[in-house]
This record gives sequence, structure tokens and C-alpha cells, in this order.
Amino acid sequence: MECRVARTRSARRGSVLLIALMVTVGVAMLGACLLQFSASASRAQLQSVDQKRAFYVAEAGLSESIFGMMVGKSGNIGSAESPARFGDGVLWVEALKTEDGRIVLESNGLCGGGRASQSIVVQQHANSIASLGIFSDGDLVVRAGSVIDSYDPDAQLLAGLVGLLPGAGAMSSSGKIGSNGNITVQGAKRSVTRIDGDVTPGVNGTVISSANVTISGSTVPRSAPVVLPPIDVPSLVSQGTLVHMASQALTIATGQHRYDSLTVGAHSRLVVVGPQTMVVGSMVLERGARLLLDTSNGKVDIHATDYVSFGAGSVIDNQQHDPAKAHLYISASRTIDRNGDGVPEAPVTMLCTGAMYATVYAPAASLTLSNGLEVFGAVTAASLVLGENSKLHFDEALLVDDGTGPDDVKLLSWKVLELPEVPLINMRVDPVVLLRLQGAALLSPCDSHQDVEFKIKYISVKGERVVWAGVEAKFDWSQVRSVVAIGRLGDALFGIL
Amino acid sequence: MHFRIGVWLLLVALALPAPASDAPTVASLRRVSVALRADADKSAEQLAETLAALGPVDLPAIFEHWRSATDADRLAASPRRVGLSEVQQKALLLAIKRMPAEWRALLQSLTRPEVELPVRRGAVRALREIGEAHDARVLLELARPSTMKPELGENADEAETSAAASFTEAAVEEFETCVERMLERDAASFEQFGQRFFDADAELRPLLIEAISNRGTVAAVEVLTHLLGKDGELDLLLMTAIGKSAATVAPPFGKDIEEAVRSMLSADSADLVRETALVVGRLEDAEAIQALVPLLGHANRGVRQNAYWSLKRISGLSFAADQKTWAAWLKVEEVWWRDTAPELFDRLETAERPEALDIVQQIARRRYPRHPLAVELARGLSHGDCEVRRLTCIALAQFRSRTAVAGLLVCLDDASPEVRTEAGRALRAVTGLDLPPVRTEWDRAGY
Repeated sequence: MECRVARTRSARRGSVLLIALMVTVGVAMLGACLLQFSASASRAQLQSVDQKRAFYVAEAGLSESIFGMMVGKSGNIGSAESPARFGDGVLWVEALKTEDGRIVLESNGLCGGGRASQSIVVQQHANSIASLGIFSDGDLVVRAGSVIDSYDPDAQLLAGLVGLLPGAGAMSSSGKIGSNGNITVQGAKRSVTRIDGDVTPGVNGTVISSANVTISGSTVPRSAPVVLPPIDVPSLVSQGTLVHMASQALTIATGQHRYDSLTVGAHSRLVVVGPQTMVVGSMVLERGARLLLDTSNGKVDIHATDYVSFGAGSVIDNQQHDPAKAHLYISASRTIDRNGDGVPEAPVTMLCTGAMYATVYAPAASLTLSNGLEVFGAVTAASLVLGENSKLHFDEALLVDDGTGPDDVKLLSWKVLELPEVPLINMRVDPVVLLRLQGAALLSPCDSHQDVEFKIKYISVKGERVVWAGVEAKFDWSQVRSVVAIGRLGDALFGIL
Repeated sequence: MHFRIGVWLLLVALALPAPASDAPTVASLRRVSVALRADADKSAEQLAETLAALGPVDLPAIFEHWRSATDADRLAASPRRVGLSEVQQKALLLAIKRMPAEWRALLQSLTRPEVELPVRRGAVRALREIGEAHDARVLLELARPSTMKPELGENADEAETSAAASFTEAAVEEFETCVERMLERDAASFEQFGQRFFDADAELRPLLIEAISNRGTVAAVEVLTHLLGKDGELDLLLMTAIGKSAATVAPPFGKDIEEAVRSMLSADSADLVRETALVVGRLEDAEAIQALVPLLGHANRGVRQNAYWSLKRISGLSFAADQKTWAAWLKVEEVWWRDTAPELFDRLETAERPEALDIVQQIARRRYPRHPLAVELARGLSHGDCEVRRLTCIALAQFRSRTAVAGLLVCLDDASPEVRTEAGRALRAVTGLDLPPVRTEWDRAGY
């Protein structure tokens, strides 16, 4: 009996161990699964963070590229072989010009294991300087009784067709008046000042207005100052002095002319036929003189380099009533005694009357418009005073880009791209670590704008006009006061400059 | 009794300076002229001494010489005329200054209506150089346009035309610069001009407002704000002038100023509401947000745009110009400020490091109301843990509120170098001054 029990016990020996072993293996397997799951979740989380960071690195690349374009660079930053370092990641941007003049910017951002590629389409353009409307680089004063608004010339034409008075009914409500300083708008009980549109002072400027002033728009200050481009005066051979005193009209035929001085005597008449580019040292219209701009066949551009004096009662008439066809560029800036009487004369005096259809651009001169003058077009000056009861109607057609204004980049579209087939992207390792191992320099984005063969025409800090060609990176921007034109290899301008 | 009063009056009369005649005699003019040209090598001070020695009897002549030498219209009319040198002009002015009671009496006598305009303008120029706060009344009388032409008719149109003709651009500039210089020279002038504002001629009031606003100080904003609502014709000009002054002063401003300006948001005139909407933004008046949000739906486009600009400026946020979005945001912020914030502020100073850091981060995420929030957040600067103090400095730099300057200055002497560095950074962000994180440098800069 005892022997049977002992045999049974011996047969059962080790079964608990087996069960324990099975449980242990089961728990170990479960633990391994959990560990695997946890590691996987952690990796996914890390990947998600890296992905997000890569996305924002690519965004930063686009921003840097746009900034580069706005200061005259190509928009290319780094390359797939030599990207720029940004934070814990790297980026590169390629700028591709399309046939219609737009620019596609493709930015790639890599951070840890994250990869992102984005693209935007931008359009680079320079506004018309006349699009500034009524603008003063310094303070602007609007005297009592003035009216400032804008008009659409096409609507004006329609209004004329239906028998309304010229201009009546065609005025819109987006008059443009602004400055880089303060704007003072005066009004009087019997001379109410009316501004239809926004009045935009400088960044730290304000609009001072009083009772009897009506402003239909906002008076919010601008977010960034406006830089007035300098005038590019054409190089022409002087034909000496032109003085016209006779009562009969004198006609200057179409073409290009330069005079040291041009004087139209009292009640005399001068006709300038367009297309015309005229450069004059000093331009004097004596009392009652009449300057007729015949713009029926083309525009008339008059550059006054030293002195402008439009006497009382003088008239500037534009035959086509189209301010886009009559430009008065005044680069005069010195207040000096010109007639030897001991009293210094301002570089620009405008006492003309009637209606003037023109754009006046005098970035270096203080300008005071005579009382009662009516301007259709745009006026820009270093500082500007609009005389009492003056009327300024901004021509909305001047908003069209003619390439004379400051550079601007307009964003047209944005999209996320498929990742390109590039070794650095395909290898899912930290790009910074990899590139460091390879000995890459990893410059910052602002130092990674790509070198491009380019030509630049600019006004130097000494006031001289200079043309420079070479590798963009070697160009000394500290010598530039303002840029006239830039052309890069592949641009149409590159060959012209 | 009558005898005593009589003696007293006699003594007072004797104590007062002899009323100077405003018309100098030929002999007096000659004496001054001779004194001026006696020694060409003399300095302005020496020359002034010689002139002053002539005595009060020659003061009108000294003033007349100085007046004609500084008359721009006269100089422009005859540019070839050789005038007095700068040294001589300075000497004349110094000589006038040495007889304070006499020159004040002289200028007072020039306020009479029959005194010619160029002479009164000369007196205004003199005040521009030497006038102080208590000369404000004389200045306003001297510059009064209606007294410049005593022959003004009773007809309002004629009066206005004559006043305009007499109050030329040059005269306006002289008056404005005179007021500005007096305000610059003597801070008490703000109060004087504020008190005497409605004593001034109606034509002078806008000029006075402009001159005060050109100073761009808190005192200027205060004076202009006190004038709000007293003359409806001037409210719009006052509001834009307040905006001009406030643009050059860092907020926050006093409660009185904020309330006075904010009250104009409910004005009837759309022009006034538009400008007020902009000015509350310049003042960064957080309490105005409630009134600004409904203005996003105002019928006037200018009001809507100005209100939107101010909302962005006060809150530091860039939501779209949508009334509902701003209203929803404001509601959330107000609830947080009312229900959650007080407890956080109470715990900030005493909480242990992890909790205190969390509180600082919670507060740093908010912007409403910015300046009071910065005041409360500054409690973290006195926390015992240096990491809490450091993080508080970083958060205060983001708030850019001048209310934190005092606390940050204290942190420049903190035992921890990290706290000192961050306090310096925050001070640079708040004040815009690029100074090192050294207390003495900031003390020297007037902080």
C-alpha cells in the first residue's frame, strides 16, 4: 500500500513546476508585448512631434525665402546637399520662376525623424509710385475746405455719356491719403473739409482733426513706413535754355529733350507733345502762363532736377484728362537764393490754378499746393501742405502696377507637397546628426541664400547712380541708398541692365 | 483805520515796480544802441551787465532792440539789412531777464488793444525765451487775435476775417512754440494753461491744444483729458490731440484719464467715436474692450476699423474683425479673471516650486487685462525659488507692461545670475532701452 502511494507521488512530481513555468512564460510574453506596445506608442508620439516640428521648419523656410525676395534676393535657400540649420532641424527652399512671371517656392523641412514639404506661389511686383495717392514722407497738412476723394475714370466716362457733368457721379469713396508722419486735417465753420476714404498716418504718427472735418474711413496708423524710391533721371544731352515769351504758342515736338532751364513767360503758351521725355534743370511758368500737355499719342514725362516755379494763375492742362499719361518727377531739393535778392527760394512752388490732371512725384521737396487747385491724379512729396479749398481726386487707374514703386511680394496659393526623392529625406535619421558626421557647415537660413549672378542698378549712399554685376553674395549692400532695378541670370532685366 | 489802510496801500505801491512805459524814447534807444556797440569783443554776459546797468528806465528800449532784431517778417522784407549779432541778441535777452518784475510789467502793458501787432508778437517771442508758468495769462492776452485788430467790427464775419488776417502763420508758429517752450521750461505751466484754457480766445484754443499735445507727456495727456466734454466743438480736436500725446508715452495711464476718454465711446458723433476708439487703443485701456467689441458692428467703416485696431493692440491677439469671436474671447477671459485668477495670485507667492511654476505659466498664457495682470504676476518676483523668479521675468517680458518695471529693477540685484539676466532682458523689452542688467545703469537712465 505504502509502495503504491510512493509510486503515485513520484509520478506527480514536477507538475507544479511545469505550471509555474507556463505561467511565467505567459507573463513574460505579456510583458514583452506591453513593452513592445509602449515603445511603439512612444515612437509614434515622437514621430508625430518630429513631423509637426518639420512642418514648422518648412514654414520658416518659406518665410525666410519671401523675406529674401523682398530685399532683392532670389528666394533660394540652401540645397538638398547643403541645407540650412533652423532650430533642431534643417531646411532648404527652391525658387522656380513660371512662364507667367510667378514664382513657386518649395520648402523642405526635416527635424529628427519628421519630414515635411510645402509649396507656395507668389507674385513679385513693384507698385506704381502714384498708387500712394496723396502722400507725404513727412507731415501732411490739409487746410480747411479741402476735398479729397477718388474716382474711377471708366465710371467717369460712363457718367459723361449719360449727360452728367465731367466727374460728377463718378467719385468713389476710397480716397488715398497717407504719410510717414502726422496728418493734420483742418476745418472751419464755413469751409468744411471732407475726406472720403482712409487717412493713414505714419507708424508712430497720428491724425489731428477738428470739428468741421469729415473723414469717412479709418485713421489707423500704418504698420510699416513707406520707402519712396528715388527718381531715375534719363541721361540726355542738353539743348541749352528755352525761354518762351511770345503770345503765340510754342510746340515741343514728340521725342526726348533736355534743357538747362525752361521758362514760359506771363500769359504765354507752351505745348508739349507726347510721347515725350523731357528733362529740365529749372522750370518756370510765369504768372498766367499755360503749359499744355498733348497726351493724345503718348505720355509726357517731365523731370525737373533743380527748381520748379509755377506762378500765380498759371495752368497745366492735360489734353486727355488722364493723369497716368502726365508725370511730373521733381528731384529738386535745395532751398537756395536763386535770384540774388538774398531770400532763399523753395525748390518747388506751385501757385497754379484750375484743374491739373497729372501725377506729381517730389520725394525730396516740400510741396505746398495753392488754394483752390484741383488735382486729378496723385501727389507725393517730402512734406505736403494742401492749400485751402483744394480738391484732390485720386485716379484709381493709377493703382495699376507700372514697376516704379517699392517691391512687394503677393502670396497667391499654398499647399503641402509630396516628399521629394532625396537621400537625406529617405534616410529616416536625424538630419542634424547625419550632416554633422558628414562635416556639413549648417549655416543659418539668412546666411544660406544662394549665390546668383545678378546685375543691379542703384543709387549709392553718395547719391551716385551705379551699375554692378557679379555674384550676389559679393555685393556690398551697405553702399546702396536705394535700388533702381535688379536683374538675375534668367530674368529679362538681366540682359537689359 | 483809514490812515493805516492808506499807508499800507502806499507801501504796496512803492513795492511794486514802476509801470514801465512800452514806448521807448529816442534818447533811451540811443543809449541802448551805444551800449550795444561800445565794445564788440564783449561776451553776451558782459554786454548784458552793461545793458542792465542802464536800469529799468531803458528796459522798453532794450526790448525794442531785441524785438526788431528777432522780427522775421522785418528781416525778410529787407534781407540785406545788417542786424544785430547773435551775441548782441543774447545780451539783450539776458539784460531783460535780469529785471524780472520790470519786464513782466512791461509785457503786461503791451496787452492793451492799441499796441501794434508786431510789438505784441515781439512780446510773445520774449515769453517764448523767458516765460514761466505764471506768465500763461499774459501770453494768452498778448496773443489774443481779437485784440490784435482793435478796429474789429461788430459783424461776426468781419471779425473772423480780420482775426484770421492778423493771426498769420508766423504768428501761430510763434505762439505754439512759446507755449511748448514754457511747458518744457516749467512743468507747472501745464496746470496754468489747463486752468486758463477757457479764458483764452476761441481762436487760440485749438492752437493751445496742439501746442500741449506736441509735448507728448503724461501731464499733457492729463491736461487735455480734463478739457474733454466741456466744449463739444473742441472734443474731436482734443481727442486726436490726446492720441498724439499718448502715442509717445508708454501705457498704462491713470484711471481718470482712461475713464474720461472711454466715456466718449458713447458719443453721438461718429467722428468722435472713431477717434476715441483709436485713442483707447493707444492708452491700452483694457476696460474699454467691452465697449470696443460692439463697435466692430458700427455703421461707420472708420469706427469699425479703428475699434478693430485697438482691440488687437490692447489684447495682443489677431482674431478677425468679427464681433462674435471677440465677444466669445472676452467672455472666457472675464470668467477666468473673475473666478480663477484671484486664487492663482494668492497661491503664487507661497506655493512650492512646481506649483508656482505652473501658476506663472497659466498667467503667462493670458493677456486680459494686461497691465493689472502684470501687476499680479510681478508677485512671482519675490518668490523664494530662483527658478520661479526667472520664469516670472520671462513672462513679464512678454507682457511689456511698465507696471512691472519696479519689481524687475529689484531683480537686477538678485543673488541668482540667471534671474539678473532675465530681469535685464525683461526691462529692455518693457522700456525699449538697450542697457546692461546692472542696476546703476538703469538708475542713471532715470529708473
